[in-house]
Amino acid sequence: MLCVVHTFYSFMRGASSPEALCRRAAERGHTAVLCADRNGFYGLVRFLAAARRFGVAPVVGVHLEHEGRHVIAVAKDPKGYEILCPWVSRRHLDPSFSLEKDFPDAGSHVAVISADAGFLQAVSSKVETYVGVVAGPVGRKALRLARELGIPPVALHPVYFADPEDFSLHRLVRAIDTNSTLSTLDPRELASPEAFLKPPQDAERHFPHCPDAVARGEALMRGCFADWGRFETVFPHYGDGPGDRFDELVRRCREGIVRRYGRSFPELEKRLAVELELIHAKGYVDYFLVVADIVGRRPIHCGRGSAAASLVSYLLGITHVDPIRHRLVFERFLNPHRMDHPDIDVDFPWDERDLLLEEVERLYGSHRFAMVANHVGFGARAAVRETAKVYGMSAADIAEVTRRLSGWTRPERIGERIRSHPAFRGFPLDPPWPEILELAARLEGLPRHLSVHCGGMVLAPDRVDRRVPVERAAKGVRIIQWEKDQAEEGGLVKIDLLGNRSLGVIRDALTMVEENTGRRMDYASLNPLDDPQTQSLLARGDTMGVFYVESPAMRQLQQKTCRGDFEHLVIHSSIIRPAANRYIHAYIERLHGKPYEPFHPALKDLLEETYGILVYQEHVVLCAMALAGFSWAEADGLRKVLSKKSREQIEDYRRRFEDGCRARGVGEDVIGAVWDMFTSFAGYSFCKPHSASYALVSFKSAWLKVHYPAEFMAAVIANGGGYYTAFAYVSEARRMGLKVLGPDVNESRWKCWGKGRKIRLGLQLLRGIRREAVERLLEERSRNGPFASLDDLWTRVALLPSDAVVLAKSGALDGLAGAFHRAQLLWWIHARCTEPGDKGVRHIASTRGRARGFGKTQGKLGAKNNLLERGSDTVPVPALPVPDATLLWRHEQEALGFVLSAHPLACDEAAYRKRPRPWVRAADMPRLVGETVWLKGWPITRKEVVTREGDPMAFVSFEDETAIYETVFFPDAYRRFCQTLGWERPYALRGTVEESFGAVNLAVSHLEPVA
Amino acid sequence: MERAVVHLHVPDFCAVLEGLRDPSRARRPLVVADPGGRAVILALNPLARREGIREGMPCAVALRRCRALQVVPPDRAFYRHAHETLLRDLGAFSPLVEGGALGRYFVDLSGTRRLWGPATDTACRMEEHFLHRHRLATRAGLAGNKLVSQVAAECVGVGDVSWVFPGGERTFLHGLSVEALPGVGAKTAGRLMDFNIRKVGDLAALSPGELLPVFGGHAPRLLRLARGEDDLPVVPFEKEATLRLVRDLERDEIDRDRIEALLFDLTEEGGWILRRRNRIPGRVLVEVRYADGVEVQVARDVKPMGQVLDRLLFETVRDCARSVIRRRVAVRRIAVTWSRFRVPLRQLALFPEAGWAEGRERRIQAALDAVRRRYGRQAVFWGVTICGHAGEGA
Repeated sequence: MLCVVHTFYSFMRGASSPEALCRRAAERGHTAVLCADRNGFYGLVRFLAAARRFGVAPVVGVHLEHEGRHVIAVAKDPKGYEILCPWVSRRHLDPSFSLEKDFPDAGSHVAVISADAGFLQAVSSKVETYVGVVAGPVGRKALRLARELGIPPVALHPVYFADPEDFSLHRLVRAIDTNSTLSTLDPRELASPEAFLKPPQDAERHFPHCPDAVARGEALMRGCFADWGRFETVFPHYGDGPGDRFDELVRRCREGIVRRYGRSFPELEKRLAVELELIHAKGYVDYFLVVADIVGRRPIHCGRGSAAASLVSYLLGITHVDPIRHRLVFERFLNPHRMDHPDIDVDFPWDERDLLLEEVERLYGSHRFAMVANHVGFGARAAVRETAKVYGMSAADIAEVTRRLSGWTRPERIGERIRSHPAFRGFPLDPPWPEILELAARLEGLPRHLSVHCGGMVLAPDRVDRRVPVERAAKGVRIIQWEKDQAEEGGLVKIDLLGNRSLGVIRDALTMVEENTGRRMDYASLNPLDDPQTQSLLARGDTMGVFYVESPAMRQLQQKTCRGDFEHLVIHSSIIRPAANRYIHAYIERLHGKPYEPFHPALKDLLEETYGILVYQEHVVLCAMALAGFSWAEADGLRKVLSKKSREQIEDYRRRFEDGCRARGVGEDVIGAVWDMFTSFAGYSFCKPHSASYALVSFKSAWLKVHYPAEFMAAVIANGGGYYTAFAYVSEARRMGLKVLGPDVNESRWKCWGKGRKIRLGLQLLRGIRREAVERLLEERSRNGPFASLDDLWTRVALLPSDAVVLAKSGALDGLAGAFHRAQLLWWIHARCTEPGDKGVRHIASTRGRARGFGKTQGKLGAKNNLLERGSDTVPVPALPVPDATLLWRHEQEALGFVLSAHPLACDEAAYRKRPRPWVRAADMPRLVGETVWLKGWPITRKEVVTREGDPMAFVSFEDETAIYETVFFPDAYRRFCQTLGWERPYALRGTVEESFGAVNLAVSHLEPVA
Repeated sequence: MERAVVHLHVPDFCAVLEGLRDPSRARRPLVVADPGGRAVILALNPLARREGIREGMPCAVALRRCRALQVVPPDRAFYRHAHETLLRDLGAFSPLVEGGALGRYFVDLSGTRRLWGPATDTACRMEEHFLHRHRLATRAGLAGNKLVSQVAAECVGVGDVSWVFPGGERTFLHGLSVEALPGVGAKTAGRLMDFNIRKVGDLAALSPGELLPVFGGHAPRLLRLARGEDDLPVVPFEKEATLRLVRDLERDEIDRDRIEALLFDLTEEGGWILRRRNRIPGRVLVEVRYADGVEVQVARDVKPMGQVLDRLLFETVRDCARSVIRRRVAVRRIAVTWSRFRVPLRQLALFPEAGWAEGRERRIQAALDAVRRRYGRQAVFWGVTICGHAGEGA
């Protein structure tokens, strides 16, 4: 009998992980497991690993469903898998796919099982065929079919979940998937409650009438290849076919030496020889050439990650940080002991990445190219939302719960969050919420659908779909069915081409500088590391908008350290990780001269440049080698385990580390202190080459901010993203003394533009306007010149009333409005844009004469176009009351999402006046250290963290009309005010001004919303 | 003859009634809301309003704002009864009395001067009547039409009468906010705000020709509102014979089987009443309120039948419910209303339409009714309702 196991990679059907199913299979006496997920091999690598772990023989198959017809195809050996992958790919990629016609000639490598007579008859000559018999009346019909066709029957037991109690989870995911409720869910969408992984003898009891079918299933399983070892590693090929291109690599490195250094020198030669030898030995020659070829297609990029430690990368132009000058260790990227295959990550301007990927696909051929997939699962919010919908909860009720869950909460932590987080304090969770939350927590880890990885790309030497099925993502690109971890395990060495907004900022700023001043600067040769003004800006922490150092924590660190040189910036970029807070304080103290002793004499030289603190990932590796005597591979394993947060594996490494240290006579206190520092690398941490690469981009950004502030800030606003909202960047620009002008149909471009001391906001910032309308407008303007009047604009560009209203409310039409004020302008637009067939317009024709006759004051449409003189174009505009500032602010808020002509706190001045408090200005905070003060505040950004005791607290940045300032909500204050603290509204804050190494912040003791 | 229309408004009608029913409640902030933490506020008393609570606010939010808040479930039958009692009382002053929303009344006093004296005095007398007889504080507006009288009532405090002299409507409305006009909703007010038309006077000053291109067909009505012109008569309240049964679910329900079990129970109750009253309904209206406050309804003709049979009656109700309950949101309240009654025909048809099945159904119904007459309604019930009972038990 054949148990056809569907894991949760049969998206929204299976309810159990491959690990859970393999564990149960082993416990219940199955010797082999056939995993046949729907329409793909999405979880194949995980399934094989789980089968190895629990000691069951894995059998690989696929359950293909097409137009309501079902076929189970079993790969009897690896060749069978290679045959099935393209078949599955065609099912996804080819709209004219036919189960029979497209079925490959698989010989004895594949067996197919179906109850579809047409399919079985059509393919019986190409492949081993069986009629699938399931328990119940349908199975009896299948047995008759088997007799009629003369095809042997095989007993099947479909499995969709590991245990009987998982049926409720299966029902839930089906209801979510079909947008229904539990009671209205079509029974045909559900598996049977019996579809759990039963012991073989229990499953066999359903087939007393066909023992031969049961035996045949077992025989089929036994005949399948079960020794699925490691997958062959697949590197891309440079050029058209296989061949040794080492000489080509050497030649290009030599060219790189001339370009980067001018001439060679012994240290360089020695290092280059070592790297080239290792690259050759590990088979990375083509890989480097391919990456170099790709990055050569775009002038602005940033090679990052451990590959930035490679001299070869630097010489090929993949990375831009000199690994010799900055002492970057190549072994972090490649070393003889490293078993896995590291990839190279390269950042490109965010809006160029998709085009670049298209270019690569064209260049190498579609069949060789595919993006890596993401298996999108449920976060806590999505899990709660979807489950609650199945239970019929209203959208408002769901929002009340989900907004209290952090976006980072995982479903399994929902219960803990509800119990411990102050946002849930006093929040009643009446039935059926407890049931919903319990079920939602069970959605942990369940994949829901595929999406495209943000940059991972696979280039196969021949065809990608020989190794893994390929399908098309919603955005149209080809993606493999595996996510990055399975792709790596499956031997596919990916190349990461990632989008980076700050590179877009730098590109746009350089373009503006060139157009405004004629000064052309090349991104790669821009090397401002020694520019004193840039260093000074970084040392002040005046870095809003500057790549990687603009977060409040980073700005404060820069202020506290007062260091703006490259070497320190590299350290700061790495030490700022979340779990390292306690070491940051020690670092700052030591930086300012506090004496310290290294943990151990063996670490003295290793940690000298970082003041005895472990900062980079290499430090973990090297410390483990120095203190515990780990080999490089073992120590690198520790690094990887730390970043993946696997508690079980971390404990194993801890034991081994402690044993190793003790064996080498290291004291217990040192072991404890070093291990504590190791754990600060949990979650995410960086290697030095990565930090150095990013610090270089930070320097380039900071240089532009110092020397071309208007161009830089315009580019920051234009590229969006970043740590702050557009409004916060506009405020920062104003604090820098720049004038920010609103959008204008004759002056604005699509993107924001900076020149001199002015920034003109782009039409890209308008909300609620169709992009094609703006593009048409800009195209018309560039073709036939600026618009002379409103009427000219309306004549030349067809605008919908809704688009025109947004333009007017943003102030973009003020330049054409002539004598009209904003209210009259909007009136004119509504009157002018009324559709010809509309009731209103018919009235216009009949009442126009009367309207004039009323003797109302008629407005004019501009000096050159008095509509009263233009006969049929006349639109009567009455003398409406002149709008005050509050109405204009409201319009700006609607059209731009923020108030441009005043600080938002000014809009609520009346509300502040009602609260007579001894207000102080944020700019005066440094003079008020130690005092309790009242401040006005508009929230800018916020970060919630958890203390070592597990209490949530928050760092929130506010600004008033004078400065941006940082506040701390310690756990007690956060408990009281977390439900009051929101966005887009003014607050009154009371707290104590505190100072640490020159950086001031406010420890909040009271918070109240003002409006 | 000069028209005189009085508008009487009992502010916070439902909350005040709850306060009167239990005076201890009146001294603390009180809101009327359906049971459950996530219900919205339907009505509130002035003390709750002072705490910043408003109609439509989620109950949970209101409770966070005011820890001492009393939440009372709505008793709609009680409010409706009180409303109708007040309407009847006002009938003593004029035959033309119209009841709008709960706690709002229009009384046409045109031509009653010789009977009752000046209309202002009559309005005061009505207020006093409400206060002394029913302990309800009202405010009153007196004007030449319903529109202005309603606006006028909103401009004074409780116990006062606002009188707008005939011909003074435009002057009276001139300085008021456009939102004060009944019929100007948030959307129209927002649009007027774009044009910086905030006062009624600004709107009234515009000519039809100016308004038409912008407001199209709505312009004349808007202008009439702004100018205080309203020729709608006061229409006396007339009640059509209906049987309306309402179920407020203790817990929001999404399970279709349980909802249908409840509907069957409701239909049985309706059938029982109709048979005792010897009426056959011609039309049924099913109203559903979802947990998010959205209300939907559907009406259908009831299939002709010679006698009220619960299961036949339920077929129409179930079809209505299935066509209307389509959202993936739980149901909070269901109401079924039967109307267009007729008396059953006693004469047997020459060629009976109903076959053997209906005859059997009649016998079952008769047996059930016999048991229930003797032992009570709960003595026997259909199996389909067990789902509902089991659900409650679970």
